[in-house]
Amino acid sequence: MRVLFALIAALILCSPAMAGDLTVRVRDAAGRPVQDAVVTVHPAAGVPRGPIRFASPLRMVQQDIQFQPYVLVVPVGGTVSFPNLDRVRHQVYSFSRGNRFELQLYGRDESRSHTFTAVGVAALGCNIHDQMLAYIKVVDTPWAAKTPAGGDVILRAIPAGAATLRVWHPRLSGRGNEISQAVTVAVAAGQRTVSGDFSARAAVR
Amino acid sequence: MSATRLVSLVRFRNLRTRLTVVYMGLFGLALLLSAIAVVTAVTNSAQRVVRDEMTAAGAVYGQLWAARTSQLQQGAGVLAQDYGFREALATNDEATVRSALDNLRARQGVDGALILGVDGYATSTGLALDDAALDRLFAGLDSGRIESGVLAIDGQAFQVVAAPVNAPVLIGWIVFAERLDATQMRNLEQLSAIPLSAAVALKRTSTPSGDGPVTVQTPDGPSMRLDRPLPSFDSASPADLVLTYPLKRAMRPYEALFLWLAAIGAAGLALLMGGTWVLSRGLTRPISALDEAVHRLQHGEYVEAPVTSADEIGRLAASFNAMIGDLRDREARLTHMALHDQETGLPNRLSLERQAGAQADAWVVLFGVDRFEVVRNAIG
Repeated sequence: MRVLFALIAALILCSPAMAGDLTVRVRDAAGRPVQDAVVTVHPAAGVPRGPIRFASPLRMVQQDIQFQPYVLVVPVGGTVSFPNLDRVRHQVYSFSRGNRFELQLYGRDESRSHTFTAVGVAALGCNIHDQMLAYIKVVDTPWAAKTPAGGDVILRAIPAGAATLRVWHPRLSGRGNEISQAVTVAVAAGQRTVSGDFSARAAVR
Repeated sequence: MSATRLVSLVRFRNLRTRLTVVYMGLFGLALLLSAIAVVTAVTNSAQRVVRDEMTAAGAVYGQLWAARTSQLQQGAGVLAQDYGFREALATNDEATVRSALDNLRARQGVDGALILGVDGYATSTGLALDDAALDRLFAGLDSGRIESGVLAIDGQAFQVVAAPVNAPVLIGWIVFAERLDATQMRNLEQLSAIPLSAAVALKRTSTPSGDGPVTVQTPDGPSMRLDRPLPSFDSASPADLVLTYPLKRAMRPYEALFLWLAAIGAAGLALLMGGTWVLSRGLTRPISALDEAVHRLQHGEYVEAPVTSADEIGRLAASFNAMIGDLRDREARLTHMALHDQETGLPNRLSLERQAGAQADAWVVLFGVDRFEVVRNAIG
C-alpha cells in the first residue's frame, strides 16, 4: 500500500507525460549477480521537488554484533533509526563527509536516530566492535534501489527520456566506488546490464 | 718419485751425511703431514664454530626483528584504534594528527612516524620521505602484500611498520620508521659471541646463499658471510641482513698453537739431526778405520783395524785382522824361501848378494863344491 502511495505521489509530483520501468542487472567481471549495489536514476529533466519517501522503513538494526542491512538506501533528509537488538551496547559512528555523527553507547532495546542531510555515502562503524560495518547511501532521487541477491532491480515509473544511471557499491572499482551511464528511458519496460569490477576497496571518508 | 729413488739420485760421499739427510727427510715429511692434519682440523673446527655462531646470530636477529616489529605494530595499532585519533584523521584535523604522531613517536622511541592515506595523502613527523619512498611504501601497503619490512629512504635502510586505520573502512595507515643504522647494527654485533660485523644490504650483491653461511673473498681476505633475507617494501630490490666475519680473525686464537707446533717441529728436527749425526759417527768410525787399514795394506803396511764392537762391523774387522796375520806370515815364508837354500837351510846366493850389496867395504870369499850334484844325489 505504501509502495503504491509512494509511486502515485511520485507520479503526481513530477507529473510526467509518460513513464517507463527500467530493469537494471548488476553483474561483476565474471558475470555473477552483485548484491547490495545501489542503483539510481536521475532523469535529465530533473527530480521532483519535495521530500522523497521510500516504501521500506529506514532502519539500521544492530543484531549479533553486526549491522543489518549491510547497505541502506536513504533519501536525503531521511531519518534513520538505529535499534539495538543485542545484549551488548554499541557506539555507532560515522566520520563520513557531511554525514558525520556519533551515537553514544546505548543498550538493548534502545534506539537512536539520525537524520542524513548530505547526499553521499556514510560508512557506519561501532567504536567497540571493529568488525561492524555498514553503509548508508544517501540519495536525492526517488528512483533508487539496491540489488537483492539476484542482482536485478526494477525502478518503476521513471519519466521517459534521457537520464543518468548510476551504480554504487562499496567494492566497485571507480571514482567514489561509482560508475555512471547515460540511458534513455522508454515507455516500454527497458533493461540495462551494468558490469564492473567489484574487488576494489571502499573509498569513503 | 719415491724417497729412496730421490736419495739414490743424490750421490753422497759420506755415509754419515746420507744417513742424516735420509732420516731428516723422512722425519720432516712425517712432521709436515701431521702439521697439515692439525692445521686442517683446527681450521675446519674454527670455521664450524664461526658458521654455527653466525647461524645463531642470524636467528637472534630474526627474533629481534620480529620483537621490534611487534612492539612497533602494537604501538601503532593502539593509536590506529583510538577513537579520537580516528576522528581527527577522518575529519582532516592535521594539527591533532601530527601532535598525536609526535606523542607516540616519543613514547615508542622511533625515528619517524607518518600517516599515509589510501588517497595518497601523507604527513610525517621526524622524518622526510621522498616521493619514491612514499610510492614504494604505498604500493606495498595498498597491495596488502606487506605491513612491515625494510624501506629505503634516501638510500638508507629503515625498518618500517604500518598499522591500518579503519574508520570504519580503511582510510590510511600509521607508519613507524626506524633507522637501521650503525648503532642498531653494533647492538646486534654485541649480542653475538664472536665479533662479527652486521649490515643491512638493500640490494643483493650476489646470489642468495640459501640456508647457510658461505665463504667469500673480501678486502680482509676470505670471510664467512651469511645473507638473511628481510621483508622489503621494494620487491625489485630485496633487503638482506648481511653478517660477515673474516676467517683471519677466526684463526687468531690458534696462532699461538701453530707457533708452538712449528717450534716443537723445528726443535724435533734439530734433535734428530744431532742424534743422527752422533749415532752415525759411532756407526761409521769402525768402517772408516777399516777403510784406512785397507788403504795402508795396499801400500804394504800390515796395520790391524781396531775391533770396537761385536756386531757385523766388529766381526769384519776381526776377519780383516786375521787376514792381515795370514798375509804377513805367508809373505815372511815366501821371503825366507827366496833367500835360503831349501836343503841346507843356509842363506843362498841371492841372500849373499843382497847382503854384499848392502855393505860396500866387505870382502866376499866364494868357494864351491865340485860335483855337488853327485854329493847331493848320494846323500839324498
